[in-house]
Amino acid sequence: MNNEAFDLLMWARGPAFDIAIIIFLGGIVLRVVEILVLGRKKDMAPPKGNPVGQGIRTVFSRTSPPEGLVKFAPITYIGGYIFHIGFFIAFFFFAPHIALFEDAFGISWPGWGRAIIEGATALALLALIALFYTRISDPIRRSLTTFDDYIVLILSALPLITGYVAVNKLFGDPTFMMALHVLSVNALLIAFPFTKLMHAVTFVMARYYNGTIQGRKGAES
Amino acid sequence: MTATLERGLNALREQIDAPVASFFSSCVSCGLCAEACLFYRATEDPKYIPIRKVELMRRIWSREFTLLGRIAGMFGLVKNVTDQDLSDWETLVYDSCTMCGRCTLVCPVGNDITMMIRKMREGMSAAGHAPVELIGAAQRHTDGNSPMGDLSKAIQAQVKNAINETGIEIEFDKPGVDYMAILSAQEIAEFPDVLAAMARIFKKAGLTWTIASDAFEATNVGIQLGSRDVARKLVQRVVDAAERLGVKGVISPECGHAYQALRWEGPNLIGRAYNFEVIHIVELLDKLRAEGRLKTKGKNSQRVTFHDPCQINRRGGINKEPRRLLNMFSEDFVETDDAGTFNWCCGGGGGVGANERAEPLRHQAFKMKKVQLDKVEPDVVVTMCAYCHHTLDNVFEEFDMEQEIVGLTELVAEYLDDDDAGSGEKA
Repeated sequence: MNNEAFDLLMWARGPAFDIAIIIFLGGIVLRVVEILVLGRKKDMAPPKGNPVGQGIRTVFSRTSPPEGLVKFAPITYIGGYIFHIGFFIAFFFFAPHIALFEDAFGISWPGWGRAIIEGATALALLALIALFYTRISDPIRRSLTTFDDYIVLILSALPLITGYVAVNKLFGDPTFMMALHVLSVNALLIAFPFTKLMHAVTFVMARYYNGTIQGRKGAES
Repeated sequence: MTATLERGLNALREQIDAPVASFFSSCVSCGLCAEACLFYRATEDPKYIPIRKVELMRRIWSREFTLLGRIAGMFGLVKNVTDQDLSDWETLVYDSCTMCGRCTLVCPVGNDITMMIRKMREGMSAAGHAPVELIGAAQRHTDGNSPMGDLSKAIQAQVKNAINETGIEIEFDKPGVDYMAILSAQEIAEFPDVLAAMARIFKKAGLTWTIASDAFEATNVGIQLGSRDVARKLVQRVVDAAERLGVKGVISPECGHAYQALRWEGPNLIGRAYNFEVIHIVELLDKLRAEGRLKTKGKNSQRVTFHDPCQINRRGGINKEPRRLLNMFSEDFVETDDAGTFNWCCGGGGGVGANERAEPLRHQAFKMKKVQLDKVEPDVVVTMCAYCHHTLDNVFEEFDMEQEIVGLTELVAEYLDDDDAGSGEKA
């Protein structure tokens, strides 16, 4: 019986993962090219500020919230930060994940302690639940939410849940749970370019464009 | 000229460029733009969430500009945008957005929603779904010389009044001077004192200027209506006059969208840079101040606050200049909450003020600004946009607010030190 779970795990992290990565990378390239080929007309108004400099600055500066706005949407803001940071920590600083990067790219960095990784995972999951809650309870979020938004929430939650369960051997066969974990990551990778997950790449472009438009005018962004 | 759905859709397609595609790709429907929007905040009605106002453009982008959308479209899984959709969106795009730009500043992924509204209006107007008042104003302005009708006699009369009042000559169509001034129709009709103010300040600063008799009006309903053709025609008129007169620069008046139209959109509308600079009147005054050519005397002891016009500050980058000028003579200058870049809109910009059916909503939206003004209890509200001035006049009356509203140029002229023999008397 363990053999089937093992075979599934091997398939998930072997051929299935390879296909997922190809779709992930190919899809991202397609989506980015799809955006860039539309181009934009050269702006002929003489600049007052520094469009490019401000564009680059805005990519980073837009990460912090505008003054006084957090209190109007606390769950969205705080939940958003906790989820992104938690997911990032669990993804990049869990020693077995780093080992995968080392296998693939030959680069590695020190992993963080179990307590931090598990804390980050749990917080990220709680944040997702809170974000899900605002999507159904808050009139603004509810009116904007589409099927895509729910898919994205679920796809982001699954690797966190399955990873947590597999590593802590909470229930089920650990090998099978690990196979589910890898499969959920594959699903996330495959969906990435074709859902709102894509914002994780295009936000850089959007913020840059916003910064250049405002920066040309010497206006803040 | 037939306005059809197809024309509207084509106009929308034309507006979709890389920034728009990156914005739609990045939106995670977090709804934070709602918290920045005066119409949402004043009504708490989710239909006014900024990003929803550009939903039809998103649908066209998704359906026609993404691979997945095209595939889904082939299987009939995506709804096409219909004439009814455009009709349903008209009030969202024109009545409940002043293109104030607050949403653009708060979007966590950096979407310039305001710019997309501007683009969306190109499609709406081409499809015949724009407010009649804006269409009428565009017609009057392209046929004649102002959105309010023929103001050629009015400008002549107001200039004559200013000459009589100040004893300073103001010549029409004088070539080779430093600047050509243009005015907003609102100033000519409602706040003509700005002419005398400019005459006195410029004379003292030793700056020469003129007004073109065929291009004295600065407003550009084309960018509010969303018609590049109208906008281009109106910009071209000013450019032709300025280049014919060979001036160094054109002074954009105290008018928000006029600055936006001539300074930032204009060169792109006519397809080239100008042979002259465009400077906002308040930028010019601040420059004269910095050069020591503008000095004031006396102090204003009234409690003064400043209302930032969205198109001049948030969307135009003129923020510190008016404050430096006000601080020259104000003893009690107080800022409202969110003053500067995050100032709340007066509610009348972007063509909303001209749109009669939008009036109740506009009054409701003024609530955001009113709370701030009530908090600082000023005697005088100073601004640098004649249309903000006009809008505030109306809502102050509506809400029984007693404060006086003054244009910054006029106020500066009131404290102008023109006694000492100063810097050149060329004019």
